[in-house]
Amino acid sequence: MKKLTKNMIALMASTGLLLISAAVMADENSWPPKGNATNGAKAWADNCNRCHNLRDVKDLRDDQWITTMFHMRLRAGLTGQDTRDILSFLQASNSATSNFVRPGASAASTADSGLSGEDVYTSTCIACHGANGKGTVPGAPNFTDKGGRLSKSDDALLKSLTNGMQSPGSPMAMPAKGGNSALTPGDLKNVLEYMKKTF
Amino acid sequence: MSYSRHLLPKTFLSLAIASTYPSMLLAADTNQEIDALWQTIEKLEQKVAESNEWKSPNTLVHLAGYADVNYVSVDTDNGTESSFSSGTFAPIFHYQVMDKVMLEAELAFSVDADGETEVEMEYFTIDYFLNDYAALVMGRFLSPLGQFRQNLHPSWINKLPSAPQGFGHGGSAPIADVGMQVRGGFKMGSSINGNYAAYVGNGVGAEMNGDEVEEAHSPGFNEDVDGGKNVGGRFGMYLIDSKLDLGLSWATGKAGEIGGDNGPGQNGTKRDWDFIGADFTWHLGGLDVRGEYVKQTYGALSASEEAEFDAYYVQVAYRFPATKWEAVARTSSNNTPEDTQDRVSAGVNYIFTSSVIGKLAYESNDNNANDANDRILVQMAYGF
Repeated sequence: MKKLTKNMIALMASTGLLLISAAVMADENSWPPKGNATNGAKAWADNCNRCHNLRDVKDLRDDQWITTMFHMRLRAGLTGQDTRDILSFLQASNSATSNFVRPGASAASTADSGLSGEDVYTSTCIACHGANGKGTVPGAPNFTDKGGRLSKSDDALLKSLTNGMQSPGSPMAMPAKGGNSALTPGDLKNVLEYMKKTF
Repeated sequence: MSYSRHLLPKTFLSLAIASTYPSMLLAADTNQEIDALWQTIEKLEQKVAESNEWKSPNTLVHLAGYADVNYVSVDTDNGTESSFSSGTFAPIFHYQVMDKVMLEAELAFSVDADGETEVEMEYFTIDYFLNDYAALVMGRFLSPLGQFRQNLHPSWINKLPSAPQGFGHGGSAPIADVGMQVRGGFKMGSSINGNYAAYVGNGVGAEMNGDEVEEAHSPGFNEDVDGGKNVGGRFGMYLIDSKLDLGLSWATGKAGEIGGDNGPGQNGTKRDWDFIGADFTWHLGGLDVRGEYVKQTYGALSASEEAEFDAYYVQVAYRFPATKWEAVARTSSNNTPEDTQDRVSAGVNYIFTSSVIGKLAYESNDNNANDANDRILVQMAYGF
């Protein structure tokens, strides 16, 4: 009885918080419309080092990235969609809550989302790490190096994938989950297996 | 019988009371938990509302820009002369109204040799985003012709402490114009991005020395001294897979004479003016190669010859893997009717962060008409 009541309260509270969050999200995304963060990761890696070093996503707050990206839309000749996609990627990468895992989370919440490791790599990681794993942007490690980054333990690599990491000598950090906050722990495990098998 | 007749209801009543009592206690606990949760939700609502006030307004204000401090050592006939200088502090103000309008303004503060502070309006525009592929830019804007002036001149982006010959103020590449332009980007299939800028503006001037054009002049005139508008633009293609950026620029119009025998704008003469330019950028891992060529032609008059100004540079930079070090080399040349200025530069950069760069460079300068001095330059550049 008590457990049921607590669950109901928790459900109500969660629903309330979700409604609040939804309201906030709706307000935040009223302008500009939300872009595709996965496409944004690629557009960011493709475009932003045409003229200058890639800025660390932590250099600016989410609202500062909005103005910066509209400024860069004019400077770099980006389309509006590319601008929104890159902005969504930067804001997702900037999110401090994307790493949150509820203590005692059930196995279901850590399951993968049905994406294969290759799916994850080609949609999220490939922008900076390249199809051949050798890296497309300065500071990205060469996955094909024997004794290189992928020789670390799975636990250490999963921690880096989950929380992001700063490579020595790189001017920018890899964002948490490569900037794709929708990835689940299962997805990260799959993509790690794919990278170790492929490179 | 009577006893037994009431025994069952009493037993049920006792059991009911006994079973309800803990539930009542539980209900009291639950009510307290609910109250506590509602209080938490109310506090969260308040915090969300407060944060939402500044996170989602219809307007945004943002300050960006760049700054640099410098040290220069010059080889002269009298020996080596060296100086510290405070360089440029160039704040860029952004005021944005939703995703429709943006006001941008860059001021460049610097201190001259006499210690006086100078301020220049590098650009000031009001931009209206027409749709996903076009924006209308009105005001004083950096010349959209070529790449260096509009995209590469900020010191945290420029990989050497100085500009290429011909691409600074008073060079062969136009600096700025006042007018309006339409610019934007579009997709050319899945692997090519197109970008463009087309403008109409007050145009350039011809800095005169007697009857001859001495210097190309394009500071962004706030009035049209020759009465004829200049038109032009740049078309660029970015080949995404090969990381190759290609651009072509073209412009034409009239150039009013400035200075000369009759004083600024007093002789009323104007010359035909034409511009062509081409630029490229190529990336491969840590390798960054770029170059640019520009040419301005001021038409002949009955008592004066045609004047050509052209300039180019080629720059190669390499970021050493897994380090913060970068090597860069550049050759550039500026050709005017009176002089040819050549410069070869080589340097090494330390990238503290992606927008804080320490630079050390050596420049070999060679001029046909004037003495040129070789220089060692040190610069700390900061982009914000």
